[in-house]
Order: sequence, then C-alpha cells, then structure tokens
Amino acid sequence: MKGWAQGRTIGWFCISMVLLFLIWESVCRLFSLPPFIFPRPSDVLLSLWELREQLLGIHLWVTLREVVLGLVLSILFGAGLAMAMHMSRLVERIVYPYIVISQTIPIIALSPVFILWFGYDLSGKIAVTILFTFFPVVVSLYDGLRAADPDMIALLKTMGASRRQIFLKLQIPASLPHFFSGLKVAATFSVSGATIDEWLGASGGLGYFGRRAAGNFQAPALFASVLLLSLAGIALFALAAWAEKRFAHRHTHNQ
Amino acid sequence: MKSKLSFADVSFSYGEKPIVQHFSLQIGQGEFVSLIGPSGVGKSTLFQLATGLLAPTAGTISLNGEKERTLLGKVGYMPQKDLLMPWRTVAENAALPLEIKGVDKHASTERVMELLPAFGLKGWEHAYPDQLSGGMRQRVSLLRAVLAGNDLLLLDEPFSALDGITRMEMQEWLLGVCERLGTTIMLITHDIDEAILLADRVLVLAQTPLTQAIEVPILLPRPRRGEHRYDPAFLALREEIWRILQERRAQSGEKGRWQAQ
Repeated sequence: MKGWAQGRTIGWFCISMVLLFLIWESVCRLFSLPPFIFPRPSDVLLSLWELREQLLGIHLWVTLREVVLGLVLSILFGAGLAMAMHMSRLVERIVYPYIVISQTIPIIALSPVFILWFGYDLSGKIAVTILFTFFPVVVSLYDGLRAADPDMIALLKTMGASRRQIFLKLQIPASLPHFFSGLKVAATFSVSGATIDEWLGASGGLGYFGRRAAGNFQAPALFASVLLLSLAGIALFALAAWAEKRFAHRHTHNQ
Repeated sequence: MKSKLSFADVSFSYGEKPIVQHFSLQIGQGEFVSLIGPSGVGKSTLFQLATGLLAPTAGTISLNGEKERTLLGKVGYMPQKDLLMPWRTVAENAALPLEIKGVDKHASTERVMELLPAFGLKGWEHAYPDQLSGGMRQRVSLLRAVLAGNDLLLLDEPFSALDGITRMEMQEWLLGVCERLGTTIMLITHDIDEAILLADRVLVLAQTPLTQAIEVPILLPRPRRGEHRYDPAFLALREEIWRILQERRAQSGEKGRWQAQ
C-alpha cells in the first residue's frame, strides 16, 4: 500500500520532469536561443556524455569526498555540541548565541579567509561544508533532546532512573525524529557548501569545473555539472531519509 | 495489619502556599485505598511525595515501617496518561523498570512474559503502542507499574481518559488482578463509583491544605464484583461520600467569601 503510493509519487515526478524538459527544449528551439546563453536539455545531456570521464571520473568524486567528509564531521561536531548544550545550561548560554551568529554571516564572504587558513585543498572545503551544515544538525538535535515529555521524565525518576539512563533511554530516542529532519536539511546544504568553496578557489571538483566552463562560455558543460550537483544533493537527501526510516521507525507516530 | 506505607505528620508547601499540613495516613499491607476529591486539592502532591518526586518539608514517610532515604525506585506509579514509549514494543515498555534496575535481559523478558496473560496482553508482546486500544495501553502501563513496584502501586486516575464502557470493564478487570496479585494499592480518582467498587477504604480529600482525610470504610464483601454497584449498601456509601464532598465544599466556599470581605 505504502510502496504503491511511493511508486506513484515517483511516477508523477518523472512525468513532470519529462514535460519540463520538453517545454525547455521547445522554447529554446522556438526562439532559437544561442546554446552558450541558454542551452537545450539535449545539449546538456550530450555534453554530460562527452565529458563523462572528466565529470564522473574526477570532479564528482572530489566534490563527493568533500561533501561526505564535511557532513560526517558536521554530524559528530554538531551532535557533540548539542549534547554539551543539553547537559549544561552554562554551555548553552555561552554557545547558543554564537551558533546563531555564525549563520548570519554570509559564508561566501568568509570563504577567502578559510582558503587563507586551510589552503586550496581538502581541509578548506570541509571546513566550509561544516559551516554550512552544522547549524541544522545542532539546532534539531538540541530541540529534540528537550522535546521529551516531562511527565515521562518524572515517571522514569519514580523508577529510580539516573540522569544517564533518562538520557539514553528516553531523551536520545525521543530526539531522533527531530535530528533526522535537521539531517535532511544539512544533507542538501552540504552540496552547496562544498560547491561554493570550489567556485572560489580549487583545483578540482564540480564547482571548479562549472566555473571554468562558465569562463569559457561552455554553458552546456556548466549545466551538466549543475545537473550532477543536484543529483548528488538528491541522493544525499534520499540517504538521510532512508536512515530516518531505518533508525527512527515508529518514532514518527504519536508525536 | 503490617504497615506498608505511612505518612506521619507530613507537611509540604510550594513556596509560601501550604498544600499538605500535618497529614497522617497508614496503609496496611495488601490494602486498597481510594483517594477522592475535587481537582487541584493536592491529591497528586500526595502521590509525588509517596513516589519520592517531592520531599516533604516536615514529617516522615516510611515504607514497610522504615524511613527511607529516598522513595525513588521503590514504588510503582501509574500515571493518568499511559506514557508508553512509541518506539518500544509492549514487552519492551513493560520491561523498562527492570531494565533501569539492571535486571538482565533474559530474566526480565521472562518476568514480562509470565505476567502478560493476566493483563490480557498475551500475543501482543511485539506490538507497538499505536497498534493498541486505549484500554490495552492502560493495561501495559499498569503492568509496567507492577514490575516497577515492589508490591506497592500508586494509580493516578488511571482510567479517566477511557470511555465509560471500557472504564467499567477495566475496573472489573483490575478487581480480579488485585485480588490475584495481593499488592497494596492507592488510587486517585474523580469517580465515586470507582472509588467505592475497588477499595477497602475511601479517603475524602476536600480542602487545601490537606490536613485530615475523612475516612469511609467500605464494608462490601470480597471478592468484589461489578454487580456490587447495584447493592443498596453501595448506593448508601455513594450518597454518604457525595454528602461529605458537598459539605466540605460548602464550608470552604463560605470561608472563602468570609475571607474576601
């Protein structure tokens, strides 16, 4: 029943996508738009095929490595921070404002500084990805940890539970649905984070490739790299959604 | 009768406001006591004191005749909401207190499985709470309290969220279980019929601060059945308790007006 409904959603998505591509293609042909300004989908796909060795063989992996490492570190760092804030009012009071402030700074403006600190290589890209993704992780997990029903906490106390037991048996499982919502946001942000930093200065990756293509007026190649980035974002989102189903199963009920 | 739980000259206040004042109460081993009274009178405060969630500002609460450093972990508490963890199965929810006490998994599963049939939950051990009816959820919650409880249970309006028919069924079922398990039970309720049907004694709590409860002994025979609801003696008790509640309320109301002048 559920699988059927999901299949139908995907079916509709495919139909709408084909329609979108057809409209795009026909608009380009109808108005004879020059491909270096607005390439047709067929140009983009052709370019993707021609450049497959560069795009899929080299640049996709460079970007994915930055994204995945950044996201994993972000989860570790973010979860640690959220737990520290949950355990200590003092840490929360000191750290929380800075977490919010960190998100009000346009990260693009900071990127040159990051490049200065971490160089053009992997560590700089990872640092920017973390900056992009740790906010949703920290906030969602922190809110999730506080979302446990106070009556439930009182009940556990009457059973003689220690703070640690309350944390492990109640607060952690109760926080998972919130955490996964944040993770899904972070997963989609992570691709943008890595790309932006590559755009500003790198020697590989889809962002770097896209920028070089733009500089050479190779719009189809640029669109091909953007298409791959979007697919990578979708794949990461799907992975986070799968993890949510797998680990937070039954959590979504009664909440 | 051996004393199971006793309040000796217990007082408690929230800030300046006294809720319980010089309150004393003895509950014997195996006794069933109902507490009845209007909302906000401080019944739940008595329970929080008895479970150890609150500490009395004066006086002592003892368990089995001994004064305990803390009552946390020694009394089985069943709240009004079932408070089952949606991510745990019936068996895992019931085993929670044993898990907290560090009982090994094998032994705790065995104890849960042993009790499931008496709670009408046989075959449901792997179900999740959202697959159960309201009555079944309350039974899981009671089973969890029994496993937590070292034979003293505090039930806080356990059936108030259920529909009328299910509530009557649950009351009759509880009668059977209590008589079988022989646990000491203290029940908070708003329902006069429920208070009488289940209990050996009804304590009427009518005014804050709680000082002295008015005791109404229930001399209906045991084993108790649902049919006792239609006994003339039952109806007389119901009238008596209702009259006490009304009188007390009138008294406190007059006092209130007098204070306002």
